[in-house]
Amino acid sequence: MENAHSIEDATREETIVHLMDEYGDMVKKLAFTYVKDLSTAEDITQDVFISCYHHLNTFEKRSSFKTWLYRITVNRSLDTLKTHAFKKWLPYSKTYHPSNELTPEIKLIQKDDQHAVTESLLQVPHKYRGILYLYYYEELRIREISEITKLNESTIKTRLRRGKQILKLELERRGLQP
Amino acid sequence: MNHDLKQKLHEETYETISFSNAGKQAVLHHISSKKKRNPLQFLLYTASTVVVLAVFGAIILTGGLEKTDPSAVDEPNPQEHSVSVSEGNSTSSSGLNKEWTDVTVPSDVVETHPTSAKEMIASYAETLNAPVPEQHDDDHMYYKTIGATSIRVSLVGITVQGEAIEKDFENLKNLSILLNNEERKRYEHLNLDGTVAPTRYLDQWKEPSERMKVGMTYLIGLVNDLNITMNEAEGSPSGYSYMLDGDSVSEVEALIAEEELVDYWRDE
Repeated sequence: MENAHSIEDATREETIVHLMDEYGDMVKKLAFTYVKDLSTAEDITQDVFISCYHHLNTFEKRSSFKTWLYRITVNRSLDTLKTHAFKKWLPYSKTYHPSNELTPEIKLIQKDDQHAVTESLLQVPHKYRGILYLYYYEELRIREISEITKLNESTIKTRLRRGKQILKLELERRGLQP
Repeated sequence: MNHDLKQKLHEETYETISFSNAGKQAVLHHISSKKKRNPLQFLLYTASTVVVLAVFGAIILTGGLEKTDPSAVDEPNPQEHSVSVSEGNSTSSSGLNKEWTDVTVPSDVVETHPTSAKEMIASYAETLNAPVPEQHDDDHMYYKTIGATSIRVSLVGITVQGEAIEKDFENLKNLSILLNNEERKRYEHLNLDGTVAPTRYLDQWKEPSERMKVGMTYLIGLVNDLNITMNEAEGSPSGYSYMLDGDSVSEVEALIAEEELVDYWRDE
């Protein structure tokens, strides 16, 4: 898919279908890592590909489609987190009732020791969590993460180091070997 | 931990996360409906604009709009939202009458804000005591001060009458102004020119002052006390309200009086 030549030849719809098949799961996993809710992650994923469709013409091939999609996903996920935080302050909103309840996915994960490592990762603050995910799960390089998050490489390294410390403590707290 | 972590995450959870076919269909549906709709939408929009302009022009040409009967205009009626409360001992230990009435005119309330004093207090009692979202883990005070600012805005439209409650609401307003003043001190040293949002430099703000921390404790406590007295909410009084004969009201007022308050929100 990274061979942009084939994409240039395809129609925009065909390109989107191809991108969804190739990267849909990856986008949803990354969104889930941020928002910790599968249903919201699914919505974000749809939104990412719709946005991608509308901006295909302006896509500059300085980065790969993969990096581009990652970047849109991180931005959309952060927007979602911000919006939720803001909505908590809308008193008696008709459309949103602030709830301290955990999402069904997190409840399921917390009930089950089989998910201890995922639970530990999701406990790490999101500014470290996203970077840990991209580095360890997606196995991206520091430079690529810097390109996606628009943070400089030294910030990425610092957050990675701090995130690892927090994750290590979380794992230890659950009696797991880091 | 590198490889192990990836493998564990994958086996535990991530292996099962996939973008659903329904989701993909929804994206394609959105794309195709957008493509089909655009030219039609443009035509409809243009046509409706022409019709509206034509009708408006015809009205002007045929003698203008009829004058509205002033008596037909709905005047806000403060009484329609009034609540009178007189329970238990109707005089506070400081000799103030505790009877109160809500004379709020709902149409004066800022959009999306609660339209009665009871609602407002219940709302802030809930939000101020809710856990701080994790993205604000680094700065709880910043997040809580959003709530204080919101109280200031809500109070613009809320009016209560009664000796004790008026004093409590005045303290509530002043505490929210105090917190806004103290928040400004956190980023004053950055010398921003007013065209840049200070929140962009949140990581460079000074730590909250002691006065701000105490002020926030008082504000949350006062909201709690008002919720107990106005909404019969459960909980222990914090001692910061006249309505509940709080023994620490003087501390609240001493903090407020320490420095002259500038209501920036009103000045701007």
